[in-house]
Amino acid sequence: MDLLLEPIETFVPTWGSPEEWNSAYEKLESYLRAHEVDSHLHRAHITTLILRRVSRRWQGQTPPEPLATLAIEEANRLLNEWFSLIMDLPAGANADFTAADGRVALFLCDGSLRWPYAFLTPHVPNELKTAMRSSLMRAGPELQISNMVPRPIDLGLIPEFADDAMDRLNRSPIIKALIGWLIFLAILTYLFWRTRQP
Amino acid sequence: MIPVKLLSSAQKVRRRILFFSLVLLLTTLASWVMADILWRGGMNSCEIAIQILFTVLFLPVSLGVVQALTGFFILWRRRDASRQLSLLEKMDPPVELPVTAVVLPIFNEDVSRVYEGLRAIYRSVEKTGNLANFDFFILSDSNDPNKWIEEEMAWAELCKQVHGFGRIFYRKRKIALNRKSGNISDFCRRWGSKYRYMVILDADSVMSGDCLVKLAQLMELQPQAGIIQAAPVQSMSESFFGRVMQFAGTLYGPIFQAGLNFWQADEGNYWGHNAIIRLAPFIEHCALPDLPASKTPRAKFMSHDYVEAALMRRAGYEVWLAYGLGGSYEGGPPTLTDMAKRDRRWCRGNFQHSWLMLSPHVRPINRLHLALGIMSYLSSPLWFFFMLLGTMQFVLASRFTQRTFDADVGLSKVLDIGGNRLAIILFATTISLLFLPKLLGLLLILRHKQEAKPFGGRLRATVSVVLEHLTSMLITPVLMLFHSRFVLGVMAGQEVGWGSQRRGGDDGIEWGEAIEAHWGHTIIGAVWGVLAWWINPAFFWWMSPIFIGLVCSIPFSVLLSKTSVGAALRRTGLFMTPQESCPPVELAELQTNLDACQQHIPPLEPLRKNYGFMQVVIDPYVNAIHISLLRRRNKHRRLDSAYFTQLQNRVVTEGPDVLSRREQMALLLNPECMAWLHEQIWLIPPEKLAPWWMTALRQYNILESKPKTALYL
Repeated sequence: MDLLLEPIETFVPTWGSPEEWNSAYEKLESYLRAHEVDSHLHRAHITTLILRRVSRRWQGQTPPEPLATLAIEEANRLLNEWFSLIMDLPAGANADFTAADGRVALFLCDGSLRWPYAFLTPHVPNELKTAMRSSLMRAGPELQISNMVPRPIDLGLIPEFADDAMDRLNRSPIIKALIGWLIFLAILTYLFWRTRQP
Repeated sequence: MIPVKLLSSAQKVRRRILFFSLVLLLTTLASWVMADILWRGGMNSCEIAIQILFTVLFLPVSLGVVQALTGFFILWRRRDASRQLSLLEKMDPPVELPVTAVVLPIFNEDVSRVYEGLRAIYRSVEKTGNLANFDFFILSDSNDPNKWIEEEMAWAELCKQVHGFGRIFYRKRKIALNRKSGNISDFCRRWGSKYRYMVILDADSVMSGDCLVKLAQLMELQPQAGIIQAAPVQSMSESFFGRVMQFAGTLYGPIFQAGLNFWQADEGNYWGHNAIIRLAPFIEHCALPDLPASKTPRAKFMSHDYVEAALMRRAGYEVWLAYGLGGSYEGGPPTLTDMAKRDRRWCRGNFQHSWLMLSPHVRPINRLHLALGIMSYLSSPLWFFFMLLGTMQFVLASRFTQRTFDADVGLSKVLDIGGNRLAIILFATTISLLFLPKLLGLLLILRHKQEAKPFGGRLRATVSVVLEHLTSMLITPVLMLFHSRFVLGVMAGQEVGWGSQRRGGDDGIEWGEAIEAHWGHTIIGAVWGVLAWWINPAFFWWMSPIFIGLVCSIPFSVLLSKTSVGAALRRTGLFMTPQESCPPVELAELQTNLDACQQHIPPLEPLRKNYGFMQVVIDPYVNAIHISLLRRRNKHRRLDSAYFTQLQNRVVTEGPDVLSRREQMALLLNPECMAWLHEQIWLIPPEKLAPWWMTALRQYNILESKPKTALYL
């Protein structure tokens, strides 16, 4: 088994319980899956890489958060650095929005699918850089404001009168009900009279 | 370019005199016969009321018949000086076209249907080589969080797939002020002055690239044209009801449209979608005024299209109906109850037009359009009242006054046939007149075997027409009662809401829904039938088509809503239309893609209600796109308050189910909140998250996260 003799740089955590590292691994892996890092190989590679960074960062200290949380924080830090590197963003830009811009650019150029091994690696292919920088999401063209104002319409006298009458009726449900009853009584009276005609 | 005029003023006047003289002649004749039937040495008040109602109701019947006859002769001879398409045949179309905006206002619609429809239109325009001349705008007023997120992702995905960024745009209004017309006005105010023309689509509209290009060319040839309405054909219906309506619209529609264009010419109407509009006059003159009853809330015109056409005419621009253009399609309600729901809104909208009827600013022909719109709903309670009076007259005649219809006067005396026979003749003539347009539509396709073939062939087309007539006979009394209720509701000041329409899908309505919608019709039909039988069995048989329709309305409505019955009829070749037998490329592509969309695995049941919210919080890309779109509008705003903090915390610890739609929308409108939520859902340990989020994260890990959109992928 020559393969087993090849040097492999393994990561063995020196602190924390195996359960904690397992749970951190699972969460981080699913976070990367959500980023459409579909290559199992690459996902495993960067998951290990991030966990190793977490291990180094908190070596000899008491971590303030669970390991899984620290792993996601580390991934976010790396993502921001990676997006800033590719997108050539100014230092100190709002982290949330740097990530959002980077993700949008990556989504628009199908970066994770077209360059499956480039995600979070320092050696970004130039094509990916160009594709992400040229990705442009425009929801609308430049505004060109117009004034659209209704012109008054002369409705004539009758609608004006009807408007007032309707308004009064709407304000007084009793009058409305009375009119309804009057109509009903009129029909009843008419039927009474008609059925007594020779 | 020299402006072209299809008809001179004198030609228009001659056409209208001829047309309306025929309408009046027919109405007068029928009214005379009715008067003879009712006349027994005078008329009592009930008979006078019957006579007046008959005359008023016969007028639209005559108008429909004369319109169909006129249209039939035009299409038979294949010559019409006022046909818009003839302009393109006679003249060289303009080579250079200005950029036209194609706008698609939507409100909580089926996202797959909307975007796949748009894809079909976009592809079709691309094939004409005129893509550079069209910009597409999706204007959303959706207030369902799931729909909103789905729309955003579908937009981004569609743009990515067709390379449509910078050509397909998406705007979501924060406040859906003044409904659809407000949405269009908002577009006009923001971008209207960038474009010379705008084509308005409905959520289920499909227009071919060829049709869009022709519309733009026609506008360029006629600088005096303000609106050109392309006649849409109902298509892609699957239910029994939908297919019957689709067949009727496709077969009889063209003759009505040709006849309508004959008399209205450049003073046509606008039907709200599938039309091209000249933007400058639209912006200047067609902003909708408030309703006069402005002291009441929501006093806005619901049916804005007729009013906009009237305002465009008032500004001196022409409004045309371009029939026979082809490539203009729309969907239709799949069930009788859906049609009733749509009619309820239209009824209210049409009645609001009554405010404009006496305005000196509205042109006479527009006034006629408004009146016909009102009459299309008002005629139902009038018919109902007419039949009630008829029943009452029969009761009075047979039980109290002993007056019958067999007196020999007037026409019945001259013809020596007696009053009863004359009544039968009038009844038969009225029924024949109602059937005549259908017969004419059938004749047009029967004359050439090739023309009948797309309708299933001569025999099947004939059988379909007979079946369609029987179906419409059974539906008509139900619609009459629906419309009567709506008219009474409008008069009583009942409010009508604004909802999205069901546009197809499942295999029909539930029995419960049918019973809820039609129990009243069934009772009225049964009581009326028993009363008619008690009065006179002969009278019962006269009125039986009405009673049968009403009494059977519940099972009939369920049957009509079935897509399985629609499919079975299609297999037998009945109710076929050219769009079904040889579908145009746009519809074929749309159907294929929609079928593919249906293959998507639906989300787990507990997550379904808030699936969009889940995606935007969990998925890094959906979240990023949403935030980016929000930031473009919220550049100078920063919303941060205790209100948002408590909303965020509730979502994380209790799940989105505990938030109202309004609260979810408030969060979704805040980019900081959305960025925070995305971060926290991934950071927070499972024990501190609501169980709903644990299920959601598991679903995201176990199932493939694709598709993020409802699009065909």
